[in-house]
Amino acid sequence: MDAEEMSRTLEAERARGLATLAAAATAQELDAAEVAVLGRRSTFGEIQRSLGGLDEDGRRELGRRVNEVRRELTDALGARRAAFRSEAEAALLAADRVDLTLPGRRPRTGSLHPLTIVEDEIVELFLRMGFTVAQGPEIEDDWHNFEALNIPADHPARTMKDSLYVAIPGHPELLLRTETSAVQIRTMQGQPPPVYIIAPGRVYRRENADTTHLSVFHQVEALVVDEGITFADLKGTLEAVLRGLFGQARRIRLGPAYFPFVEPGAEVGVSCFVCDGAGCSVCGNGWIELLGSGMVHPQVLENCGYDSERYTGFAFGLGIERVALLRYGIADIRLLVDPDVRFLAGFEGVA
Amino acid sequence: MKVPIDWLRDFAPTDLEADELAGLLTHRGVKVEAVLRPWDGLDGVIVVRVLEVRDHPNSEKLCVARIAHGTGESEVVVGVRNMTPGDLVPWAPPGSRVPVLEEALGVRALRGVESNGMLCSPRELAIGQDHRGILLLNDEGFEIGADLKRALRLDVPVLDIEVEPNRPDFLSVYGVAREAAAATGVPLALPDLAVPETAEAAAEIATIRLDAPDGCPRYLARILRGVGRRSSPLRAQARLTAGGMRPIDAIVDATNYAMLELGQPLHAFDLDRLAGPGIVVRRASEGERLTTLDGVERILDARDLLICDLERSVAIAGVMGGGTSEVSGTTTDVLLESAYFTRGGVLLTARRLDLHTEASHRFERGTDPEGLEAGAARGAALITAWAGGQVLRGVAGAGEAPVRRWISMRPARASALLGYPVSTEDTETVFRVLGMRTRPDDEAIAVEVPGYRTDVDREVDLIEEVVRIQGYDKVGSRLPRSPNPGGLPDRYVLARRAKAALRGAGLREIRPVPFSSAEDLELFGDRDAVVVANPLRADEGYLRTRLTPGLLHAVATNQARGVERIAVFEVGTTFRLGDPFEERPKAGFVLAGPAGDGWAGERRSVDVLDARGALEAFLAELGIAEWSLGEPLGPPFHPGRSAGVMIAGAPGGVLGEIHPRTAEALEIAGRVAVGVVGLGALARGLGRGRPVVGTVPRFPPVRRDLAFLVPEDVPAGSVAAALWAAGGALLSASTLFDVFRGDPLPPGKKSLAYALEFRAPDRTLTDEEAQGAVDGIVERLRAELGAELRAG
Repeated sequence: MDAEEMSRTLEAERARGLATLAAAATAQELDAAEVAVLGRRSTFGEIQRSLGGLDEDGRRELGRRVNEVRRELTDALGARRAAFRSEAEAALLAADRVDLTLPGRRPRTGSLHPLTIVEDEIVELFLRMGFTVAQGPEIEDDWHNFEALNIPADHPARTMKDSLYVAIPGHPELLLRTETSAVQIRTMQGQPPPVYIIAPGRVYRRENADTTHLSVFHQVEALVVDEGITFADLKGTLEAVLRGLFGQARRIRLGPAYFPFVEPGAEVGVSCFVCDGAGCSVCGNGWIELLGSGMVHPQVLENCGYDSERYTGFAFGLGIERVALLRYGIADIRLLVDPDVRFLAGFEGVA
Repeated sequence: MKVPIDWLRDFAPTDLEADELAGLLTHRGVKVEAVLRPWDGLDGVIVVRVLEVRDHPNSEKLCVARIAHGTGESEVVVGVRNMTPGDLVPWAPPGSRVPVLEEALGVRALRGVESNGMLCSPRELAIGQDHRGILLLNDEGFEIGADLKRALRLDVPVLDIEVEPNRPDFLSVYGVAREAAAATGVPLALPDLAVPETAEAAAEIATIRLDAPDGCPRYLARILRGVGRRSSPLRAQARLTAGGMRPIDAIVDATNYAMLELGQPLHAFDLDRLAGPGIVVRRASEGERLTTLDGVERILDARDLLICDLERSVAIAGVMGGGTSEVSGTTTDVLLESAYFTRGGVLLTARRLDLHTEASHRFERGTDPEGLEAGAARGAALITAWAGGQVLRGVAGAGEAPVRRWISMRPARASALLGYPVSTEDTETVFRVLGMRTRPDDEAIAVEVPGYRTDVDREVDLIEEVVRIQGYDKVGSRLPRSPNPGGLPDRYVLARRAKAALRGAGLREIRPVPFSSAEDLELFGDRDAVVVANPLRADEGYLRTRLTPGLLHAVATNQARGVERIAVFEVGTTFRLGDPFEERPKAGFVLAGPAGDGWAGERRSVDVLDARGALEAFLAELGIAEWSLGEPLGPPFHPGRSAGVMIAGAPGGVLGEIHPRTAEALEIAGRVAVGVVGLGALARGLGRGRPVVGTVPRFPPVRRDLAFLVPEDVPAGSVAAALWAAGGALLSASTLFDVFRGDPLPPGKKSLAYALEFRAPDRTLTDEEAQGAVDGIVERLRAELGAELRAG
């Protein structure tokens, strides 16, 4: 084969090769076409091998052309191969499709109890005002629960019907605390003023449960004792806490009330967070009577060894259940001791 | 305390409507809970005259009354026959309403005779309990055709007042009127205490001796002669009814009426049935018995105070009279007791006997020691007005009236406590409004305390009066400044973190009541529970010793309501007897139902390994690394699926499935697994799991998967421990990825497959080095545990 003939054959092979590669319908056919067009036994392979028989000029000239054609064929092959790969991948991915409207696989979700959520919130409000959390035992003695709080044995508030007693041999003075106020006493006995504490915790009464009462419930008791504490400090603190819980627009009002361990005592109402004082089904007359409060009775300070001339203070007790009922629109307080997970699931995502 | 507003107006003649007055009083600390209208259900009943009473043609029991009602005549069929022609009676005509019937009255035929409405008994009008006959209105001075409700003043609103225990003076109409007068500015009228007396002196007739002056420092008696047996006037009966008391007869009603009005309890004895006649007030002897008016024999002790005649006991002082000396239908002469009994004594006796009366209620809160004469005079005057007879001159009595106290208040102290300026003039004004005398006392003002103000004891009580009268609205608002940053005790923080961690582990928090029943305790055989002395419910007889029973009840409750998938936790206190008791906070959780949820969830039931997983996640979240599981637990746990939890080397809790028989007894279906750890144990474990701050490995690991055939009774934990022990420093990770038993493995054997990773910190490990470590592991497992290498 002379150079001219080889050149003709090369051009013919080029055209035939491109056509063959283009004609391959599958990746397998393309592999066969590659062997047929570019393999050692292909015409093109023969031409490549025959180049050595040409003179230097012919070899250089035709050699350059052979390289050009090989690149052209190789590129065409690569392009076809890439196309087949894309197709195959697309088909695989199409088969791998997922119905995203199916519910996701997710781990169990937990939730905190509404009483915990409310307590945490109240505690945070007080922490920001520089209060410390104090705790005490749930089984209390008569002195801390009553005597020290200015409720002597012959006080009408002391009837057996109100308190749950425990029967521990040799300790007739023990009962289940009726107020977290007992923690006030323990704190004051344990440290000198100033005192800025809150005592969240469980309390017990001998009272049958109904839609608004439980025999076991929770309070947050606040106590401040320092020099120069006045009734206005009580009102300001109540405002800060109740606005924190029920919204900054809330107003509060104080009215006379009696609690043995404070004097003067005050019942505290907050303007309704639903109707803002206009009157609605939540509040009735626009105000929600929420808690009891007052200036610490000097006798209580003296019972703890404090100088009641030098130090004054205030205390109040907020029912956590009451706040939870209002906050979450719970109609029956007994739901708060019910373990029904359908009720509890409602507090998922609330913290 | 229920105060009909017209009764209050007898003393405080205010024009204010009931609702306005209620608001004003509440603002002053006299809490009006509600304004009642007890005879709302009575409407249109009028006074009529009976013209004729004839037999019913078709009934032996019924009769027919012809009546004149002012604008004509009507006929009414009646079931009783106590009325005769000429009597005035109440008639409820068609269209009218009576409290005992829901519907308005109509015209209807009774046994063939047409009856227009009805004639009414006291009970049908809700002014008494009597239902034996038609109410006769002859002595009341009513006109025919008069509206009965208006004539008896049944249309007046009644203030329902919640009396705080420190203000027993509000347990009387007069006491409330005193505050109402101060609040409205109207003058307070004095009660009418005039008593026409005979020449004979009471002190000549009866002797009074006080043997226990600490319980009864003062005792007065009025003597009445020639008293008859009658009913009290209907308007008085209506007031008693509105005040919450039952009308009985003129004498008893008079004592009750005077008590409601002035707050002084009175007791009427039949003078002829008092030996002496004389009164001795003494302590009971231990075990002494007295049968009270209600027919119950009471056993007394040496703290109880008795009223006695010269021979025997006749009443429990301040609580209830005895049957022997009670006024009766034959009584003509009366000894009317008006005494002061100290608060504490009556309270303790009434509480111990669980015997609570209107009198004991007042005595145990504190009556006015100055109010004895007024009460006795009012009672005596009412008895003679309603039941006839005469009052003897003066009183028979013993004991002295107390001297009034003066207490000083410094306006500067009031200013310092209330946070707004209080002047001397302000102070004087306040006590003038309250009708309390003042006089200057250096920088202070001395205030005279009347007997009825039992609550005023020291300066701060007067300061309270200042702000109460000036109004709580005067108080400003200020935030106190704490000198400390806020803080939480460690134990509180731990409880919070525990809750957050359990929530993160997919559990829902419950807050059950912390009581247990005897059956709950029996589950674990706990013998050291704290007993509740006076529980409200039989299943709340103990304080819980553990969280587990409550967690199991939560499962049973949910399952009973058709909820299957349950994963809940509690962080709460448990109680045990100790020295004298212990309170231990714990964190616990329970799992029951299917492990998964929904279309993709695992259908299998949860088991102890799910609980172990939750425990692992919980402890990991708290950073507690030093823990392990110990020996299997006894009942009520599943012996093969439970273990004690060791934290920081000491017992700290339990983990396990409940024994199937126990679960069945608790009506729990399927497997149920709990985990409980003490917060104390958690606190011990905290801080031991410090973060492992290392470097990212620089050299690649050699990975080998090894499966071992081991006897069934070799725990996976032992295999893992041996792996680590044999692997030495080069073993960097070990993950159990398969547990297999059954064909083709021989019975009694299981295969445990581990993915192991070997690594050196300073070089790329060679295969030979890794193989050396693997060989060591294989050898050790064979030697220690009889493990054979299946594949590697």
